[in-house]
Amino acid sequence: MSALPSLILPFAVPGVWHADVLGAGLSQAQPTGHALLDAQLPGGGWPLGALSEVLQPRPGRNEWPLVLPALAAATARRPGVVVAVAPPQEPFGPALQAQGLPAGRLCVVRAEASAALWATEQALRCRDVQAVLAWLPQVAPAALRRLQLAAARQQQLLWVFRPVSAAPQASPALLRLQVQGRDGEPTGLRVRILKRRGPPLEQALDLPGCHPRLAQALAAQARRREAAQNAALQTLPQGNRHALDRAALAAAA
Amino acid sequence: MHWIALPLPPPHEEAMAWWALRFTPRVALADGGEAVLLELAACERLWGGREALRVQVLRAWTQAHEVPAPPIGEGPTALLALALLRQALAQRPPPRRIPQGLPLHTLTALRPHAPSLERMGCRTWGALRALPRAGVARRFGAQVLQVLDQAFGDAPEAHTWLELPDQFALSAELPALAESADTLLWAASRCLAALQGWLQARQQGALALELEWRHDLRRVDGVAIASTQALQVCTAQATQDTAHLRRLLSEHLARTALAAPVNRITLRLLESAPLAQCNASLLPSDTPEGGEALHQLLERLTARLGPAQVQAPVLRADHRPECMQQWQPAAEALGRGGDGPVPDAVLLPPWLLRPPRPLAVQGNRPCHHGPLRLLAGPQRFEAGWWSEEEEGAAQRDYFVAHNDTAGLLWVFRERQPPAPGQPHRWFLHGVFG
Repeated sequence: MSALPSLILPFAVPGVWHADVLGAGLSQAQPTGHALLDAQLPGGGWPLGALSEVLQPRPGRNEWPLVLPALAAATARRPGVVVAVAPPQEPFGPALQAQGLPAGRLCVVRAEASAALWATEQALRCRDVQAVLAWLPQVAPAALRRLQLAAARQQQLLWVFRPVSAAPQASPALLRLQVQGRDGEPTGLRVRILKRRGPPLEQALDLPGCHPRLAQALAAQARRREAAQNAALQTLPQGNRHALDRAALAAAA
Repeated sequence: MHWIALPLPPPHEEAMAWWALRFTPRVALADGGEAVLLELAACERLWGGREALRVQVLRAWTQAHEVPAPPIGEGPTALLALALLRQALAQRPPPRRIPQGLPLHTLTALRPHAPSLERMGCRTWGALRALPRAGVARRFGAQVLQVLDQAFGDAPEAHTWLELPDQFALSAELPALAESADTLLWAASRCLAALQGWLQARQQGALALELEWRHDLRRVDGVAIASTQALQVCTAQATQDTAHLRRLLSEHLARTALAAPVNRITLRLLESAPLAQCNASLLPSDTPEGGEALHQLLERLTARLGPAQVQAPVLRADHRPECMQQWQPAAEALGRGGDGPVPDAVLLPPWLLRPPRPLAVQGNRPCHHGPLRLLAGPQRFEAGWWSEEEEGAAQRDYFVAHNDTAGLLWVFRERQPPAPGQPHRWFLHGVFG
């Protein structure tokens, strides 16, 4: 009986989506730049003209590595401005430019709660705005719905960043992600997809949490430090060991 | 000659008819502004024929006065068009024979004589024209015959054409004293509609406006106040779009407190520029239609939030991170970008803390939500020694630090301790978020 509906329903009808497969999505998508994440998102990327909600443990953590590759690709493809509304800190232009988002395309609007919501909606009405990043910690679901409708009009990328505590609330967002750092791994980023057009995804995705060159630099430094420690241990005179060094020596051996 | 007569709602002012000048230079006001008369025969080819032009004129009238579908009078002479309009306004059907069947009172010049003529049984234009001319001229004056000839098109008509003033300045008395700035906006929007007509007729776009209001009181609570107060609104690109100007005005007015009730406003155009009309494209455009331009968005955000809240970074060639970028108003800075790329900038954090946040120190380790582990560094910065200010000079060792709660951080240690013998100070300067 359970197989019956899928037999009857035609598979190839456009606009009909089977809930057990990933929705192809009628709308366009902007690839995220992370192949692992693209494979799990309907349409293969961030939805254009729809709200993507990102939940994070603390504002200012883990958002740039998630969105920067997509922003870099989008700004390189066509002209337009990226608007950041109520960022928790000051975006650092030189770093963003080095990672692909030109400083001359970034506009920052500093505003408080209701003004931030207003500014976000205004930015979505503008045809020259390509993407909007809004940090709205306390926003009502009705206001989110307005943003979702506004984004659909001009086909822009829209991210709303909210605290993790908002996860149980209902949301009109097409896509909801939860990001967090990986414990014990400084350059890691763990993404959990809370809501998407498709079957729920149980396991979390592990993505790079910083620029590959920074990760390389950190790894190289760690290797150097380890080598230096080993070398220091080797050069110690054999007879003159302190009793407390024994444990470390055992570990090195 | 083909004339169209359209009614003008009160107040009967010249400014209310400026919108018509964009179709034809031959626009006249009839009888003290009761109606506006447009001569269209000379220019109808430019607009794609008489029918198309009539539709456009009616649409412009509706936009200018925000009243739907007016009655309309059309005819080969101005007086005939006006007479037909008056019939239509009185909701009488047009006579079977035009113009012979029109009643006498539809001509202004005949109104004083209409009662005596009607007693003679002469009720229509045709009946009056059939009377012996010499007798009519002796009894009612030669002017009656001349007007009748003009209405029939037998004699030339003379009109005072409507002309635009060189400078736009329009005053409006408020119907009631305005206590709040919002009330001013209502009156100002009517002036804006007139401004749109002026701009369209002159092919200009507005760059700067001034709204001036006159206070009704000279002193409030014993304190003398200025008799007038003014507000200036500027826009980056010349525009005829009064909706944008109106929104800018409303944002500025919302932040303005009136010193006293206001009884009169004046709208002035301070600066304008010729507006180039762009060609329409044959092919459908790639970009989605609609939506407003970037400068409109920035002006509106700036008007409500203030210029310090809407900014864009401009990069500067400097080694001190806090001087690498400078925040400037977005309207000027967007698209400029500034100096070239910084070497090794991918190793810089995307968030910067301004000013750097001092960190607590446990032993020799800096703490931020728990003790931090230093992963990379030191990277030595020694710059700004040329700076005049005390804090301009920077001698710092930068580290990349981490703990599980705070994530990857960019911290620095000052190379000089604040006083000899004291520990070095640590600061948090950026977050790799």
